[in-house]
Amino acid sequence: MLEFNNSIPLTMGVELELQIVNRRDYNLTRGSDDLLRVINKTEHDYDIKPEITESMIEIATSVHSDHHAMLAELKEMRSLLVAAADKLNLGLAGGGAHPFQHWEDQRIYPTDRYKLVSELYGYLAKQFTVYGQHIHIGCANGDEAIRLAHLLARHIPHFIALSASSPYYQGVDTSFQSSRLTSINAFPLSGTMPFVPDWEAFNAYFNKMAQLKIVASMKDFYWDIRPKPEYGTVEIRVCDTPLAIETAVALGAYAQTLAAYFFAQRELQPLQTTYLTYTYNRFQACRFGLAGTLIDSEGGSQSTIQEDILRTLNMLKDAADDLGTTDAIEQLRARAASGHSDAGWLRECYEKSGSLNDVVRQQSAAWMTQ
Amino acid sequence: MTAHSFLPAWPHALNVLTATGIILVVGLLGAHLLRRFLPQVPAITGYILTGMLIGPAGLNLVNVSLLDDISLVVDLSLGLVLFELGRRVDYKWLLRERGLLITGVALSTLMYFALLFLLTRLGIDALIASMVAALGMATSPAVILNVVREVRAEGQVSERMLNIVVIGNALAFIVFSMGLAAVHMEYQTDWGSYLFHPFYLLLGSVLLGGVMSRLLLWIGRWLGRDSQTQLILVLALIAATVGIGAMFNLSALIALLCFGIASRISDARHAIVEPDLSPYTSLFYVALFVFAGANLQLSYLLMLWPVALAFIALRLVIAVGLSTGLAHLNGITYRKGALLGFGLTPLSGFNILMVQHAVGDYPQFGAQLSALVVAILIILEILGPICTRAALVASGEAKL
Repeated sequence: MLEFNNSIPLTMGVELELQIVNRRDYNLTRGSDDLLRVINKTEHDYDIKPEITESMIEIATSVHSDHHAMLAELKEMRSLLVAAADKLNLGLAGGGAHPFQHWEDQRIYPTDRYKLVSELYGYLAKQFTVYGQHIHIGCANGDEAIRLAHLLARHIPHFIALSASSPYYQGVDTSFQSSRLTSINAFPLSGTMPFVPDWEAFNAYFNKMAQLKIVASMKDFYWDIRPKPEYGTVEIRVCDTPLAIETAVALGAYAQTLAAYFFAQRELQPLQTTYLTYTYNRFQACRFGLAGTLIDSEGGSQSTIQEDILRTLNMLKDAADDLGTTDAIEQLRARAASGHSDAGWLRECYEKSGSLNDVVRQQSAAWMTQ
Repeated sequence: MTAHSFLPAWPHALNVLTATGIILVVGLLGAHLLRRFLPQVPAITGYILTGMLIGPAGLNLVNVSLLDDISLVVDLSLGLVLFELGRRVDYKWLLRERGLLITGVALSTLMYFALLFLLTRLGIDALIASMVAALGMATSPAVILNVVREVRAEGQVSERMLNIVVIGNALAFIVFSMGLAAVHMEYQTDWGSYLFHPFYLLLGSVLLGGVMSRLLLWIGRWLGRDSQTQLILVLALIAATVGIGAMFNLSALIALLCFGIASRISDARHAIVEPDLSPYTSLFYVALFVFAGANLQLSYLLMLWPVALAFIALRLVIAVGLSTGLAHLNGITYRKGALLGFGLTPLSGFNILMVQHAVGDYPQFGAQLSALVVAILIILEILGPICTRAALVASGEAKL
């Protein structure tokens, strides 16, 4: 039986995976070890840790109810990281994937778990050198978490389109806005959580999978949205790491506001039909971003993801006012309305400079000098 | 005219291209053979041993005059290495990361004075001692770059090592040029010569590098960021720098080091895409190190081995000791600090070229100087790459 550690509803936390690049040709470089060594020489309580390959570093905020405090914390973490990276002549960057790295060059970070993952998944593990943002939303109990996860599924394309920042992969323009999610599809336990009604049913499912020896812990599920019983949260895992931490925080606030809305509107019930259109909508968001098509599984209506986001943001107006997230919601509204995205910015950089190395240089400068 | 006049006369010696081809093939075979028995040994060591075997000191398949003939190919190879090294130096980092700059300068300075003291105590003439001590500051850029690339090392030990190599080589060149002034004085040439020669050498070479860097940026900007086109441009300018250096009796190597550094400093608009010279350098490395091996003469070692060993031991102790002591300043562990110092062991083999070139006018002085340098080099050319490789592997930065 998985124990769901109940947490205060609507608290939130954000994890960001960052790229570590050299400052010569801006390729990925192994640096997480050296970076952590320098960072840990100063006293701090921040959660900064290595990830599966040595060219990734993950930062996680503490638990917040106010996204302004979260932004302040992230800014402080960034100062600490930038100082260490400057000392070591490394670059740090947002973005869902490195534009021209070659997966076979990547080195697995030497911990037992990562070695195991690498052995099991072979080249998939190294291809997993992609960089995402995870958003955690606190839930009162397991049943609430299951309900929230299903209700959020309808809005997953929003998070993909608003964060999309991986148009280039392995040196080519993928024509996708977010190519990162495609590399996650390859894992056997990726996709979505089964349509279970409550925490008890989820546990039954989990136990069955554990008995079958398919999984050992929740970590083995690479789902887009999953309950995280240890933290007492629902975790959204589809976002690319945005190029700026402000965007990352706004996305966190958006998830928080959506959750507040769903928690308040008790009459809303999860629908299995959501999952009929799920993969179609998800693909549209990855491929076309804001311009993609979103099919509403309930009414059957079609609109662009951009229109659907703007509609949803209108719907959240009151919830945002109550929660204090209006500024973040307005920021996202402007972003969605303008049609601009991080992926678009990266393509513009490439158009101007003609060099992917230079794209990463600008990407890194943007993250480090805001 | 006979009926078969189109047939060539039987050649009495190999020409440059044939000799280069043979050197490359033999070098590859030698390294391959060594690898079979000792897989941990870097390819460079294989090239050098092959060179010693086929060179004048060994089987004499490649004789002294042939070595002279192919020296242009070797200069070009070295030019590539120095340019690449220059591109690796990030002056902004050196200015920001004082710990690294201090380490580089302190290491070189201490090395120079300690070696000078040692050599004079061992009865070596002060002027020769000073010049050999100056050369002792210069870790081989070619060996370090090659081994870093061979084991695909990435991380602080590798990056800091490369920057310290540049600092050491630059200081070595400056002190060596100053020593040159003293040599002129000692042999009582006119005062203009002893004042002017080092300045000419130093400033001229730096200027040449600066001009080439300007040219690269201008033409590069105009050509746009196509990496293939830019690569050809870079290669062309490297070749031209080597040629101009030879024409004007400048140090092409310092010019290329400056070319590399300056082309990165002044490229504010990032017009130059980092050129990937590795396919070319790997070819030239073979020629370079077989050539280096062929130039080594064992007889000097038999004569001067006690001095050579003392020199090497002291150099190692200082490098390891100081870089361990300054490890924290560099944000690395003591262990990595020690490995960094250990990795700096290879001595620049092309010091010998610098010596021959610089003091060619004073054969007697030059002979003494080069005898000592060669004696030291024989040991370090063989052991140096092995040390660097071991250091990079032990630091965890190598990807094997």
